[in-house]
Amino acid sequence: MSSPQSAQRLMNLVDSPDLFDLPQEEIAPMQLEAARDLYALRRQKLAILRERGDDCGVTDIRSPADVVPLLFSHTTYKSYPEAFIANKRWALLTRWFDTVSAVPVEVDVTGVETIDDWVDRMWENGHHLYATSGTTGKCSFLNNTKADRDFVERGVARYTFWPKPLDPNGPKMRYYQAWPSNGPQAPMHWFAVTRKLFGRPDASFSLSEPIKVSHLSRVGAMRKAMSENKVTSSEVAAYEDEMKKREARLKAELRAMVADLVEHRNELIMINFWSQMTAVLQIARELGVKDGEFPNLYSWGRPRKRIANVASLEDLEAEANRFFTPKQMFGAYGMTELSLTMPECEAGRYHVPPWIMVLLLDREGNELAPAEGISEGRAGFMDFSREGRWGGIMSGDKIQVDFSGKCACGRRGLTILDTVSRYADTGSDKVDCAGTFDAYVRGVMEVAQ
Amino acid sequence: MNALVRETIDIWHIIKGRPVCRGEVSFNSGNLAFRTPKLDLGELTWTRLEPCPAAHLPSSEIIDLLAETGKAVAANTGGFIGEAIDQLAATSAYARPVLERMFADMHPYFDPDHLRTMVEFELGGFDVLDSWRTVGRGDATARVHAYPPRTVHVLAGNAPIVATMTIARVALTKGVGLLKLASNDLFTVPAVLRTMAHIAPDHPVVRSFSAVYWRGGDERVESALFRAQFFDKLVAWGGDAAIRGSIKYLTPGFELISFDPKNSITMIGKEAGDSPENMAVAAVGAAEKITMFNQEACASTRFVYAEGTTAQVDKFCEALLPELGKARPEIYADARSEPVPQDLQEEISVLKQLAPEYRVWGEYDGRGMVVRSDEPVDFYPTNRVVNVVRVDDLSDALRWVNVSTQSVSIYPKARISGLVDGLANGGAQAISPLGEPGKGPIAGAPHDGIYPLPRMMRWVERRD
Repeated sequence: MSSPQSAQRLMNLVDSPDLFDLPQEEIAPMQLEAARDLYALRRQKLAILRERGDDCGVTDIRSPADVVPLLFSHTTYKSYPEAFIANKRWALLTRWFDTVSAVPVEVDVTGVETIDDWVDRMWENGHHLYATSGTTGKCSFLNNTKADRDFVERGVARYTFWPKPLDPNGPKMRYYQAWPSNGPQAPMHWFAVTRKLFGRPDASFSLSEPIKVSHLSRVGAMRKAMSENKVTSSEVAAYEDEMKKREARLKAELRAMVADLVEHRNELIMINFWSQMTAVLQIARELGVKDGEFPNLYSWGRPRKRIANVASLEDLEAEANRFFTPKQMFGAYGMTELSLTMPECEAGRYHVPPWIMVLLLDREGNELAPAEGISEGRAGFMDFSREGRWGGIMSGDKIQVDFSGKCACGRRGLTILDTVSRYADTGSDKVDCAGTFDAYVRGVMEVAQ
Repeated sequence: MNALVRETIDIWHIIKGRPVCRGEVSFNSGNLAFRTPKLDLGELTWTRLEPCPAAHLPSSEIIDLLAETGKAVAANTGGFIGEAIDQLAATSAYARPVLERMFADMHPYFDPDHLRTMVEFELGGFDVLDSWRTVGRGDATARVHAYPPRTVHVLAGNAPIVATMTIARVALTKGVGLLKLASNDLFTVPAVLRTMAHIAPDHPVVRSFSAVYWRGGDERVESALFRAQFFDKLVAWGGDAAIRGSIKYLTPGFELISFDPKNSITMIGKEAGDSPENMAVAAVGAAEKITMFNQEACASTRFVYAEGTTAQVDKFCEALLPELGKARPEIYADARSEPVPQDLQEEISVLKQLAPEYRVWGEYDGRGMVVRSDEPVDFYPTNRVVNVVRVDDLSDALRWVNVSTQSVSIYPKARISGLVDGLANGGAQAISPLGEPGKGPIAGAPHDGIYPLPRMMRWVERRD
């Protein structure tokens, strides 16, 4: 169940010298062909895709519009009942995972006790699933094969810090990230590969605590247990204590990491701090460092969307840039559902790699938005590089796409403007008397991951 | 429902009884675009240096006015109600016949006997409302008066009845009420208040009401208004975000009365399988509870707990499905809802693959879907989707009853006694048999676990 030739051709463009400078009129027909081939192939395995296609009368892809009803939202990847985890029904969870995977998932779960065991068991059997948790605390699980991981590693080596990509054979840097060293998430993989390729093995720093799915799901599990009257007040107190202790541990580690950074601030450095940038700046200032004392620093760019407890990302970015004066920033737009990121050019736009097809949708996500000039809408993507799952995804992001085929930086191809926001932030304020138990759970829902 | 209303509608505001319509500020909420008059925050509060306009009116006069208003609403006097129905038909989740029925059924809430009985049960009589009631015993006595409160109401918009109940309650308290309109019903409250102003211009009760829209959570407006200096109580009708947003303004002297966001369940005993007649009664009864208010209300059932083996429960599911697609105007149910939203479709589509643990009946077209499982599903069933959870014994379902559970309907009636304590302990608020027709509003019954009138009043004592 590998990928069709037409998809492979788009993936192989990762090695092209013109990777982000390809004419859209050449790429578009290749993408359409890949969409058709991939759909024909994935339909055979994915009953939910087949049902969706049949319901909408799309049995064959003839135009980009045909792809629209076939896009999955993030909901699909967390559609398993939470009770499977609470009741340790691992075989059933595995069967569910099979229904959202493009490759057969036939794994013996004998001996699995916890959700972390289950995740490990999937990885051991070639299903390198990514887990993410949203505000509800319920994790989504996205399947990746070994080939999916390999392709990501090719991409990271090819264009990290594009438009002036770093040379994997160049000098290694001191490397600092305010993230754990690894975890079952797409960004964790990007970061791990970056560290391996560009970081000094003797001077790479991460947070020690790994990201466990049990931890990510804890909020959801707690809410569910509360709704079923299974939690005592001392358990709530213990949970809140644990969260506070964890935060204190994290702060202490961060302090040690920043102290090392400050001590070696004249060396060649790469930082990836955005999840904790406010704290990092504060600690560094407390250590007596002033703006502009980092002459050889490379920094990952700020996330495109909201960070918890940060009112204005733009203000924080400006402050961080004044402080660190990076030689180079790697700005990128991406999401865990996509293989790789879309890097930012000199003109501040995100360039879409050829193995990702942009489907700009109307606000509701029902049909394509006008594809001319600069057009705004909901972001949908078809990622042809995924073998472990269907690559069609509808996001909650509001984006603007330049369809003119020419970027202000001079390169060709589709670009996304630096105006990405979330549709959820600008919705309806209707009020109903109907609602769920979630409204009755104070605090637990807001605890940071 | 017309999901793509793009035409901009101008909304009426009521400022201390005076209707105002000027399209000065534009809003979008979901697919709805509308304009309202610009808010003058100073106009929206009543000074505490003067009594509330209706403070010294006898209750009987207020009840008379409400009764006349009820008649005028039913007769569409002035044409305001007709206009509201037109606008709701174009923008709300309900089709016109159901809306017409809802407005036609409003007058019992304004019925003089109903209102009098409400005061008798909730306040113990009119003495405390119209004068001073002596309390205590022997030498230790005081006199108590239910003083008119200043209330601000964050309304829900999923049923016009919210407007009727709020207006009746505020009027009975003789206090003043600022009603914040919900974006999903911008029409009912202004229409009823305009009708009242039309039949009784400048009446003190009319002057006791303001009704305006601002975007829910607008800090500039809410932080200025939600203060003990201006209001005694905030009455919030559901809406998770609305209630969470309001809580931060609470201070001593500014209290929250919350009609919490709720959901409702139905319990079907194994007796349903005893005969085809029983099965039909259970299926029709459950369908009524599910589809009432097009499953938009807190009282609409979203989860059914059914007792029996998988095969028995599957039979019930099969009997239930066709009943979900029937129009029942008497309980405000159209024949169908909007198609099942995409995210729910995705969840259900996956569950279909998990047979036999899960089984799904019906299509995504809004005519009804049944998802059968052994545990409640994680998603929130809407658009005529219901989750039938199989249990060995109805008491097994009690662990899923919690403080968000409002109404519980039970079949057969004889099972109520064995379940009522467990349900109440868990947090449920209203327990009733399945399959009995609604009798209209019941005066003296609590609302979401509380008696609103005594909660709304300011209780003042004097010892002279």
